[in-house]
Amino acid sequence: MAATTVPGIRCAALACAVPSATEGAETDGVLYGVEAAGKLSAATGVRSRHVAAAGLCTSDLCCAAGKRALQQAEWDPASVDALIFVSQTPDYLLPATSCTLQARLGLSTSCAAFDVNLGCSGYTYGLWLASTLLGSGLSRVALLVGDTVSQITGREDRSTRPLFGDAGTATLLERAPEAPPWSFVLGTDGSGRDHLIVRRGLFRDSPLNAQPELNAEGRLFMNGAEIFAFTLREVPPLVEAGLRSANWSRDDVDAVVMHQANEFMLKHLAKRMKLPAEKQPLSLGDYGNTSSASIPLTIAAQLADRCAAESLKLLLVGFGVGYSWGVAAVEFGPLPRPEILSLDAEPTVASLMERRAC
Amino acid sequence: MDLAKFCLQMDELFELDEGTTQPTDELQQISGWSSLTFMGLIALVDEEYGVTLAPNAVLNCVSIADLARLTAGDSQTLRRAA
Repeated sequence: MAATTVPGIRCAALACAVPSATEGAETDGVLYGVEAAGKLSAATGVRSRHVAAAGLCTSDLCCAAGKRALQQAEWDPASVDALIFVSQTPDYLLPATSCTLQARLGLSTSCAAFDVNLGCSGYTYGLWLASTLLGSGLSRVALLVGDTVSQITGREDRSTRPLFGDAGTATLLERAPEAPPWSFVLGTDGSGRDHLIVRRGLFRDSPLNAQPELNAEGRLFMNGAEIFAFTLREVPPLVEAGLRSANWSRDDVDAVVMHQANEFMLKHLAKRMKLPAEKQPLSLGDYGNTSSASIPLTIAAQLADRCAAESLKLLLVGFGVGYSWGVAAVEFGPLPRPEILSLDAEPTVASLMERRAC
Repeated sequence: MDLAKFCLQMDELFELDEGTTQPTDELQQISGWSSLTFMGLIALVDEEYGVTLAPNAVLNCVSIADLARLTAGDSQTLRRAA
């Protein structure tokens, strides 16, 4: 596995945004029947999740989170050297959504901006990329991570729809020579691609034939048993590798923040790894599986007060679609108290202007 | 591998009355078999037997006895499942 250590990085702010609209027991009961909906909720641990209405994109959520984070960190937008947008639900086939976000956030035109197409492991990859950019000489990086997976699930598909929620996040990172080093371990196994996939929509199938709304091939497919077997195989050694790379013991870690895949899976992994419940914060009960946003969203939902008050040693563990995985051993805090904003379904002024510009 | 104990564990997993599951029962015909109980099965075997079952190999098991052999690491079942 690829392992790196980057010295002298700090998190200056973290903010999240979710759609105000929610789905849960009531809506699922109508679709799947009350008993089946109850069983699904009990198995996944997801009581409700925030779902974007048509017109509300991942970029809108990340933009709102980004603006709040910039305020909290009291950063001049012009001081941001690079913007990384990690998502599998971008605005367009092209241009890169990071470019549109550079303009919407009022960042300088000398700011580097690029997209990264990753899901469940995306936050750990994003932190790694941002850290290595800072290590190579940049001063400030905005990491925007999120997904609106609800837009690619079929309403009737009970293997995906009741699990995934939508969220966008912003993490502001800067060089800080006195900060402790951050460690990362990353990996990939593309032979797992068929088990979590949207087959149609880009170039493996001709875009001319792509009609996602009419064809199951254009919707998210998930083979839950294969994904579970993958996590049992890869996550426990990944956590151990993360601890070793940072030279931390289990007792050193304040929290192991896992990608919020599903509660059954996370609790089983915790039991397997002998990880006490108090060190494994969960947020999917209120938000569902929010793909790459789930780790920062869990920090904001469960560790906000502690992050605001003290420095926390966090092991962040991302794993899933690809298959792709990564662990980051980082220290967050004290920083402005991470917040979770709620965005109305109506498109924001910024997104309307963005659309008009295009 | 204690096959009787394994059958009792299947009863519990699939929420069946104790003694319902028999070694000759077809796995995917068991009342309660679903994608969720499939994950539960993988978790149960992982926890109780320290074996991470390959989902494809599970789907190639016809009976509960086949599944028990797979769990116990019986090479014949594994070869057939490959």
